Formats: sequence, C-alpha cells, structure tokens
Amino acid sequence: MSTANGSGPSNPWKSVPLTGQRAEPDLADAAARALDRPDPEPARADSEGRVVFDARKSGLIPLAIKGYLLTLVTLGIYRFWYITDLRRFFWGHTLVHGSPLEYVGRGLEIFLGFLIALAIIVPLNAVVIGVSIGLNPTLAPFATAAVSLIFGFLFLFAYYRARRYRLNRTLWRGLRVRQTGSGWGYAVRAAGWIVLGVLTLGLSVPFAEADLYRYRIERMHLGAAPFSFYGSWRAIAVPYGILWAIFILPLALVAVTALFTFDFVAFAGAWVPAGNGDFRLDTTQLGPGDAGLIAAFGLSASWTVFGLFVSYPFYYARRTSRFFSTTALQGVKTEMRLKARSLYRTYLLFFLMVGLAGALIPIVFGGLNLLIAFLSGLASLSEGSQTVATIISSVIGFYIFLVVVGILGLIYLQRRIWELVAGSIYVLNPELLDKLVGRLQDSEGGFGAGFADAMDVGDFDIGL
Amino acid sequence: MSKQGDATFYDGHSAKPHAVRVDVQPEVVLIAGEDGDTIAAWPLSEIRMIDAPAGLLRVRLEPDDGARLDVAHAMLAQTLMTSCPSIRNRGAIQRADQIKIVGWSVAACISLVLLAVYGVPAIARGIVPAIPMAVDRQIGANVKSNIAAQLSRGRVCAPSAAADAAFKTLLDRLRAASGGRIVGDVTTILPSPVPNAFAMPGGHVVLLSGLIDKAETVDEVAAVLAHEYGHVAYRHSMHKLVSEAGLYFLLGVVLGDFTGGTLIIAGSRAVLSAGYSREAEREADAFAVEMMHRAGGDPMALSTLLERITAGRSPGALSILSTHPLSAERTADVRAQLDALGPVETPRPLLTDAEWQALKGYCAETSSGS
Repeated sequence: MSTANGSGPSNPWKSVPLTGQRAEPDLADAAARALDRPDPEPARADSEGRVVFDARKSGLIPLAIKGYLLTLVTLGIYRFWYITDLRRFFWGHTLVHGSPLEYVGRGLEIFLGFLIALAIIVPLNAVVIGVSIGLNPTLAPFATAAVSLIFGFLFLFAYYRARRYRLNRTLWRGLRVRQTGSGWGYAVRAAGWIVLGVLTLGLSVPFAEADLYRYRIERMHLGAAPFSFYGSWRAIAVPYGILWAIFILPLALVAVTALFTFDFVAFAGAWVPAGNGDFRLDTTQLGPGDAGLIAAFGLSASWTVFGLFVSYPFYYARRTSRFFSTTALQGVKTEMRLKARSLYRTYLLFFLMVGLAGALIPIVFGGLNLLIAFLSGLASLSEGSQTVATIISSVIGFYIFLVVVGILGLIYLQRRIWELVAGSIYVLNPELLDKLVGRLQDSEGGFGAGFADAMDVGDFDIGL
Repeated sequence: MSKQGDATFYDGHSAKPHAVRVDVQPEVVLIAGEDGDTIAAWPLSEIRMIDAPAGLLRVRLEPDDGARLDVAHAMLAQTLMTSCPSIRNRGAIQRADQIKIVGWSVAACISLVLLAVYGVPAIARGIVPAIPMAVDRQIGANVKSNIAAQLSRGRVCAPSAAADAAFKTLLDRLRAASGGRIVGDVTTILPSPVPNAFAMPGGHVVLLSGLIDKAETVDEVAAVLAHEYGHVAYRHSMHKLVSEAGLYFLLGVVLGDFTGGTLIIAGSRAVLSAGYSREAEREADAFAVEMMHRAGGDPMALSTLLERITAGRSPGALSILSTHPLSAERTADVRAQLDALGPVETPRPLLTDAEWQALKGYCAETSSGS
C-alpha cells in the first residue's frame, strides 16, 4: 500500500497525500482523515444509551470571550445574556439517546428576576448597615447574626427556584422538563436538616442528602413521565461514614467533651470588649483544661475544613453516581459511574493553570510598569501621574487575570466536569425513552434564576 | 444542491423518532412520513435552528409547537441554511438587542456616577440636619470605643489633678471662643504614640497623647482641637457616613459584586470621598482660624505643628498627615483668611507655662480602661 512511498500507515501524521502519487488515494485519504483529526465525526450517543457531551472547545471559546468583554463593558448587566448563551451551548451539545437537550430560557427573564430580587435584598442590606453603625455594640453581633440567618435561608430558597427555572426551560425531543415544588418548602426542609446536622454532629447528613434529593427528583417530570427515586441514605452511608470518622469525628469529640466539661460561664465572662462590636478572649481567665479545649477545637475544626475540601470530589462522585443510578424515569433505568479520579485530575490541572496564569501575568505587567516608569522618566512626568499610570496598568493586569481565570475555568473546569458527569451516565433501556409522551407548557418566570444571581448562587448544572 | 433528503422528525407530543423524507420547496418544507403522507408543511420564513452538536442541524417552527426536525444529511442541511431567511435567529440574543443592552448599561453607569458625584452629597446635606443628635452621639460612642481599642489597646490616661485642671482650663477657653458652637464636654485624651486627633459623630473628639508630645506650644494643641471642633460644628463625620452609606448602596448593592464591578466601585468611592474630605478640611481650617483668633491664640500654630511632624519624617499610616496632608494651598488659604480678620486684638496665652507643663504630662500615667 502506501508503504511504497515511505510513509507507513503506522505514522498517520505523515500520510497526508501531497503529490497524489498513491496507488489508492481515496483509501489512504480516508484513513489519514480518520487518524489525523481528533474529532472527525459528529458526536453520537452509542448504542448502549450512553449520554454524550460533544466537548469540542471551538464555539465555546469565542462565546466566552465575547460574553466576558460585553459583561465588563456593561459593568455586569450583560451576564444574564451570557449565562443564557452558555447554557444553550452546554445543553445543545449534550446528547441523550442521540438527541440533544435544549435550553429555551431568555436573558431578559433572569434580568427581570434580578431586578425583583434587588427589591428584597436592598432593604435587607439597609438593615445590616443601619444595625452595624447605629446599634449598641453589645447587641450588634446578634442583629448581624440574625440577618445572616435570613440571608442563609434566602440562599436555600434561591437555590431551589434557580433549579426550577433551569429545568422548566429544558427540553428533550420537544418534550419539556418540569420541576415543581415550592422554593419556601424546600428552604424550610433544608434549613431543618442543617439544624439537625449540627445537633447530631454531622451524622444526619446522609439522611438529609437522600431526603432533599428525593424532594427534588419526585417533583420532576419529562413530558408527562414522572422521575422517581428508589434509593436511600444507605447508598451513601459507607463513603460518608468513612469521611465522617476521619474528618469530622475529632471535631465532634472535642465538641462533646466541651459540652460536659467546659466552663461556659467563665468563657462568656472572659470576653472583654475590644471596640465597636468586637470582643476578644482573655484566655488568662480560663482554666488550663478549657484553654486546651479551645486550642483542640481550633485544630480539629481546621482538620475538618481541610478534609471536607480535599475529599469533596470523592464524596460527590460516590453520591451522585449512587443516587442517579437509583433514579428512574417511568421505567427508564439509568446507571452512572462517575470516577473520583478523573474529577481530581481535572481540578489539579485547573489549579496548575491558574497558578501559571497567576505567575505569568504579574511578570508581564511588572515589565509594563517598569516600561511606564522608564517612559515617564523620559517624558519627565510628575510623580503623581506616574503613580496613576502604574495603578491603571496594574488594574488592567488584574482584570486580564480575572478574565483569563474565568475563561480557563469555563473551558477546563466546567466544560470538563460537565463532560465527565454527562459521559458517566448510561441509559440501560433507551428504547423506552422513545415511548415518552408529553405536552409543551410554559409557566415559570425568571424570578428564581435572577434572585439566585443576586444571591450569588449563579451555578449552571442541569440539576441531575 | 440537494432539495430532498432523509431526516428525523419529533412531533412535540412524544419522544418517538419518525423517519421522514424532507422536500425543500420554494416557500415551504414538506415533511412526509414513510408512507408518503405529508406530516407537516413548514413555511421557510418561520424555521429556526437550535443549538446542536456539529454534524446535526436541528430546526423548529416559530412559534414553537414542540415539533423538531433533526437533519444529519449534510447537503440537505446546507440547503435549509441557505433557503430559510431567519434560520440563524436561534433564540440567542440579537445584535440590535445586544447594542441596546450595552448602550443602556453604559448610560445607566454614567447616570449612576453623576448621581454619586453630585446627588449623594446633596442628599446627605438634606438628610443630616434631619437626623437627631442622639443618633450622632450613639454612633460616636461606638466609633470612639473602637478607636480607643485600636490605638491605645484599651488603656486610658490617669492624669494628675494639675494636668486635669489644665486640660479643663484649655477646653473652657476654646468653648468660650466658639460662640456657642461647641456644646457639651466630650473631648478625651488617649495614650498613644501616634500623633493624631479625630472628630467623631456626636461631637466626640479624641486627642492622642502623641500629638501633645510633638507640640512645642499650647497653641499648637489648641489649634488641632479647634480644627476638630470645626468638623464637629459642621457635622462632617455624619455627612461622610451618610454619603458613604449612599455610595455603598448606589454602587455596591445596585450594581452588585461581579466581574470588574468591585474595582470600579472601590476606585470611584476613594476618589469621591477624597474630594469630599478636601472640602471638609477647608471648612474646618477656616473654623479653627476664626476660633483661635477669637481666643487670642496663634492661628498659624496648626501649620507650624504639621510642618514639624512632616520634617520629622516617617509619619506612619495613622499619623495626622495621612488625613491632613499639608499643602501650600491650605497654608495660603489660612493666610488669606488671617489677613481678612486682622491682627489678634488681645493676645494672651491660653495656658500658663506651669499649666502647659502639667498638660504635657497628662498621659504620663495610664490605667486599663474600665
């Protein structure tokens, strides 16, 4: 075959015909194309019903750059349309049983929701400011804590409403996904679980996860077909139990010991006012055991925070896989095998890239500042305008860093994780999907998503 | 170009794929089932594409009835792309809307900045007189305890009887010269090596002992106090508080904390409040000069003291110079005002030498605050 002219099939990179001297140019050409291009064929779900995400970067990068620039120019107002464009891209490139998902939300809907949310959040902020400057210093911490609790509750509400909005704007083969259930209902439930989680030193978390997952899933339909969850907390008891024993148990032991031995009266008395609303602890007023407990508390709490941060991808992979594998859509069964290893690899790569960007950009702009100093020396600029020039160039450098990290995050973190999550889902009996029926209906306004944006819950996963 | 080809049709009522034959006519697309019957006829002008992976053209009808046509046949897809005039209008934002959003956002930003520069100070001027002094005093007490904790580690001066008497004499002289514009007695000396003084809401004035150490005459201390009383008389700190709160609202909450916004907000706040404090310093200077003039002290003493601290170098971040930069313009303003006022009529020392020495030792002893 083409070995005759020196470029064997084992080396496809050199087998592109340049002169047309091949005996079988068509075949060689096809082989070369197949091997040469990384993604020669349109992405398709395979016959086993695997969900596929067409992860090509082309199309996404121009979208991201345009979105970021317009967001900067409009001081952020454009982000509602940008996030809508991104969702349309991610949804449209995710194929279930060969057909892409579809996102039909509008930027304007989220923007209006954001405006409504402002009407709620602005007065709350007014309360925070009023309280922090006007109130008696001994009462201020309590008032601030109360407002934080309200914000925490609103965060849970916003999470659910944003999810409901996203899902109600999702279609597959013209059938609409529906998520019902109330944002307040979910927020009350989730808040109750958080309180219980604290009281049980974290042991109730698997029950909470299963219960809240069930709440979300059992209020979800595709067309007329309901989703159902037939799993339970048992599915995550073992992975969670391991993490709990390693990372949370030390903190729980310290807390329980403190509950029985700690002199809380002395502790409360040992806080001396250190100014407006601030207090500092005078440890000399405490017994040696209590001072040791405080140190142990600090250490074990740091261990817990560190451990949960490091082990989250592992836990996320286990929980998501096991819950999703016990979720059905009217007889359609799925299996999910998300690998923690690939999540870790993705995060590591991303952090490396951010570190690299963080190292390179200051070098570039440090050089620019030197150049400014040199040029302004030549132009004998005053020290003041020289400082201004340096500040402006530093601010530009910082902006560029933000934009670069944002785009890297989109391409190498969000896109990659979406690909991993979607690609780990298998529909076991995809032929049943063809039998689904439904009707189009439109009811959900953009308030939830806009509110979530104002609350900084602006995530965009599809909500599986 | 191929005008016909195979495609997959979803009717919008079920997820069942229908293999169909598509025929692109001059005005409509005819979609026929396997049996040859026409299932749908879509006008070309109402066909819209939907985001899909490369190699798949997916279209719908406007308005959306849920039906979808998936075309994997490259030539047929090409024909549809060229024959349907609005096919690229895929629900993504249109260029005209994009320009509208950008244009109105920029306009909104400009009007917000104008409101911040001109509106907020004007609103503050209107609001501050309406705030009861009791609010000022409460806020002032909070700020004062904060400053006391930060600068003097919670310690207070334990003055001798002579030092206390000297301080009271000095305050009486200044109060008498204020023409009724200073009320109450809320001036405190706190132990701290930092040479500075602060006026807080509610008329609280804090003088740090580091400033008395740097002063060579009692007039210098008196001039600093008179300057701070100027801030008190004009309720400058309340104006500042209300303006800052207004700016925080306008720029921080309304615009939000997202890409880039924070930096612009921080920058404009710094610039705006710097402009405001220059104006306030001028007013306080004028007040101090008038007061010192009436009390019979040296109205130039503030400049003398600031010059000495400047010459001493390494002023430190919290020094009086960071908030009261000495400028040629400021000194010139004071001189012009003095020329207009004429010479001090009956110059007499604010304190005797013995009293001044006692005041210098006001913070020689300190105790931990109660």
